Amino acid sequence: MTVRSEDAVEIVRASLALAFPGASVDALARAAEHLLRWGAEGAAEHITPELSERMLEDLMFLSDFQPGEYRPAEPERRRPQAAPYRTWSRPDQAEDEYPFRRRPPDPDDGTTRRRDPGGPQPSAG
Amino acid sequence: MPLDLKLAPAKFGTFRRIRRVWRSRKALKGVTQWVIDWGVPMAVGAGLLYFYAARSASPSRVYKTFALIDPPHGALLWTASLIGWLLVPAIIGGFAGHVIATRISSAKSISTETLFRQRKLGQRIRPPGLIDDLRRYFHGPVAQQYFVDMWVRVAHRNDWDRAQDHWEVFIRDMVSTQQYAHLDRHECLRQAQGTARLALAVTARVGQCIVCERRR
Repeated sequence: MTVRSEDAVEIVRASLALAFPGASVDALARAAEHLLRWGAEGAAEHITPELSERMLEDLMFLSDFQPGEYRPAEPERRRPQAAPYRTWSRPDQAEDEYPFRRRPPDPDDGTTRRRDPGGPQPSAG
Repeated sequence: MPLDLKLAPAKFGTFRRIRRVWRSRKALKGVTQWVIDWGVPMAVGAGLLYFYAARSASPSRVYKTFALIDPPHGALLWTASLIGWLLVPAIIGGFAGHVIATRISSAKSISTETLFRQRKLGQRIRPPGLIDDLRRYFHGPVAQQYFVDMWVRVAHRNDWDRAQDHWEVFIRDMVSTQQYAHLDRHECLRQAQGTARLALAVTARVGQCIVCERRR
């Protein structure tokens, strides 16, 4: 069945299907709708690796995708810890209590942020 | 997978700059796009026809043939006459009809994006924006650096040309959807690029690009 991409949801859904293979079409469409809303809210302006991790978890939740099946391109890289807040609206049916912040905290606001060095970790041997 | 992001190229060629401008026109309203895609070439064609017809007959004779005042003589004037009574009324009528109908129908339909907002003269006359050049992201804020690291280094293996090309293709197709049809050209680009950075970063983290996948 051919679906006309008059709606941006279809484009984003097709893109998310690459990251979450096996997720159902409806679940991916739900995640795509949320992503479009977050893009309109300006969430992309303040995205950091930690916030990206939080958004990835939200998208996996919306897509009914099992986190254990996620296959990053760089498995040797340590993934940053997901930010304990969001700069976008809470996903539907999410039951966590992460607060909303308009932007990530500044480095000198008293909030301790440990920099994640990232990169491949040296082997023990 | 390359460990580090390659330095952004000093500049993209002229062809790539023109291509980016051309693709950015998709953020414009449908009427404006039609004028660029069809209106300007037709006007140029009509102008060339007038120029060459005026060399064989007088300019006033060509004009009178266009306006159906005088009968045509010769191939060029016959062509001018056909354009004058067949194409010009149809095109102008269709164009004016669409513009008027759109204005009338939008009188009772306001987008939530424009609710309570004021669009000043400066915003109305500001030139259209362009799809972002990813090289500027290399030295941009954290959010832009993070995106370009994922999109260029991971998804496209440090191939800046291909990454820029696919970024433009994605934005072009996003702004061509109904999702952004009611937005002004600047807001349309802003929202589409913001959403694209979020969506493409997710797929880039698994080393994938939707454009690469579709073109394989």
